[in-house]
Amino acid sequence: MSDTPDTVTNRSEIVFLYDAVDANPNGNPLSGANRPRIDPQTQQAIVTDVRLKRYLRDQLDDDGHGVYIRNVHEDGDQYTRGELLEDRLKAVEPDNYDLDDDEEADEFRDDVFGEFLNESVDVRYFGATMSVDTDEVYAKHLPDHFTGPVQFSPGKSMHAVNENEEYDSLTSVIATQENKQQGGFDLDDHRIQYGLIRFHGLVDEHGAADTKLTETDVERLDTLCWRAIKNQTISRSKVGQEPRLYCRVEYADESFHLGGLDRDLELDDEHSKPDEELRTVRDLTLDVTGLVDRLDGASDRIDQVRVVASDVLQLTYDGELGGPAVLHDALEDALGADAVEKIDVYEEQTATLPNDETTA
Amino acid sequence: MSQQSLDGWTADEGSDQPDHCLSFTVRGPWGHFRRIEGNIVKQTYRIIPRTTVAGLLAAVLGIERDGYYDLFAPDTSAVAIEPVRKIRTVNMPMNTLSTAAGNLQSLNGRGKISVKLPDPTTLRQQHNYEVLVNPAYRIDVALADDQWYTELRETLSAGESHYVPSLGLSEYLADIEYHGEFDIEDGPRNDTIEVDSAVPNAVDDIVLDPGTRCQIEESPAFMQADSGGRTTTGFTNYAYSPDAESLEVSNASAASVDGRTVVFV
Repeated sequence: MSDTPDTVTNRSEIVFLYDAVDANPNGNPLSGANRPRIDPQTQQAIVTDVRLKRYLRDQLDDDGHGVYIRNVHEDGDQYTRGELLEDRLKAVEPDNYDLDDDEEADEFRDDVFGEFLNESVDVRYFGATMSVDTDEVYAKHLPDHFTGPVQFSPGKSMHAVNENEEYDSLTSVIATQENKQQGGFDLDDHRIQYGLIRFHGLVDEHGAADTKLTETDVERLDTLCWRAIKNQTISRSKVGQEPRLYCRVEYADESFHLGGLDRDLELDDEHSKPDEELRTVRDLTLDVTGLVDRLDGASDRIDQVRVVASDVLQLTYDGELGGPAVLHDALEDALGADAVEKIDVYEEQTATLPNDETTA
Repeated sequence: MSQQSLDGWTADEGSDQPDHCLSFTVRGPWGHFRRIEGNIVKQTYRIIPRTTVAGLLAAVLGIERDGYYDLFAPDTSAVAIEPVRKIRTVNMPMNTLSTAAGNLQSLNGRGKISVKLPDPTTLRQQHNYEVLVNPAYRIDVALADDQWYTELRETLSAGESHYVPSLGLSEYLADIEYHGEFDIEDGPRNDTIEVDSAVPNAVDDIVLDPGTRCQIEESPAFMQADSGGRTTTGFTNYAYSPDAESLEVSNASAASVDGRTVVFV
């Protein structure tokens, strides 16, 4: 695919923490009662990347962006992304392109998939599965899938969690279908008492050209992750979740990232309650020393760090205890004031909403 | 970079063992190397398959899919794989969109190009993925192609990778720790030796020890590009310790790398 001028050129590494109070951050659909996913050996709660991406897609949909992977077919005559792609396929006559010419081959690819990608922000981030059926001559100029340049590993709680057993009595209260009075069987409602979930993500600048991921798309993540957890955790088992820390490190050099930045954050044992007593964010303190020191060590390869933290999150850096300012000051000392930016989620988010000029 | 040179590949005439290799550890919070014989339950190999190592290094080098199989062919490459963390799995059930023929949205079926996509408005299917928890493998790799070998050494030692490395699925992000370039020396030549790596094609030669667990698995080792993409052309039968310990083996022709005893394939 031809590089559009604003296709993202820098790699980014993301650490994102959110917490769950008396919620089921990600149920296990094969466990009968949709119990929270928990690592049986470490008792850490697990949240899949799929769950996180659903929150992000739902937020993008609410914001008015075009989203391809959706749960429900909405009524009305809304143009689906599939129909849009089908229109392009009908309009494109492959014989009109000189496919031996690189520029025309790029144009051919862009004419088939360009508008689909423009209108499907989630495909630009997370990719899509498909199969292309055509003459071999055309096929080698068309992708047979889109790999997402934005990837999140499945997340885990930073500590062992307890399952809350108090909600078992919901059995037989919930009718399973309309006009069906009898309650369902095995509808126990299992939640964890508290979990601080840690996600790790990467933006691959070399994969970005394939899906036309733009700088604006990446900047949108800085407010999107935060707002998605704020706004999309609305079903019965998902309420009680709040974003706590988002940090995106944008690297200066191509092909370089530190890797595993999420693991450089840990709970400060001295200022945190034991795992089994954690109930709210106020029961713990996050030690950011490892993260800041590691970024410090690679400061010449980092363009900028964009960060937002919840005002009630307590942090320590090198023994100094305080609120988000502790992290911000430590980052500025390590990387220089110019390289550190606080994200103002609600001020900034309007700039990344769709408008008349940019359709998606 | 298709030019190939055998200089430096082998120390002696007639020896089929390369004389130096690059060594690194790849690890991540999750890994999934889908077993080819699986169906509804997506089982994983325990030892990262040799073909996956090739794909991982192709990603590091920025070589496209279907573009690297000759580089990792049997007579031009050698790979040893050592699990360095106890191997553990959990079940990760997933709700996914079906890609079975009947569930795909087929667009423009009559035109010159038709595209099939999973219908994103349909109900999800539930699949159980068996995934590795905190997998970590030390990998030694030698390549006959000097240019790519040098580029790989420079890329790894700079801590760089063209595409983002992952373990089996793109969301299972991985870290690579480069240890350096090492000479490949002859391993111990005793009747039975302690091998640190997974041992390829030595099922009958493992000396079973009541204190050491040993498991066997066969996974794809070599691929060739063809008109439809790629075909697996060879398999390796690995014996390994799920506790990441060494195995006692008789009749093995092992090599010594950085003080470790490994078997290349």
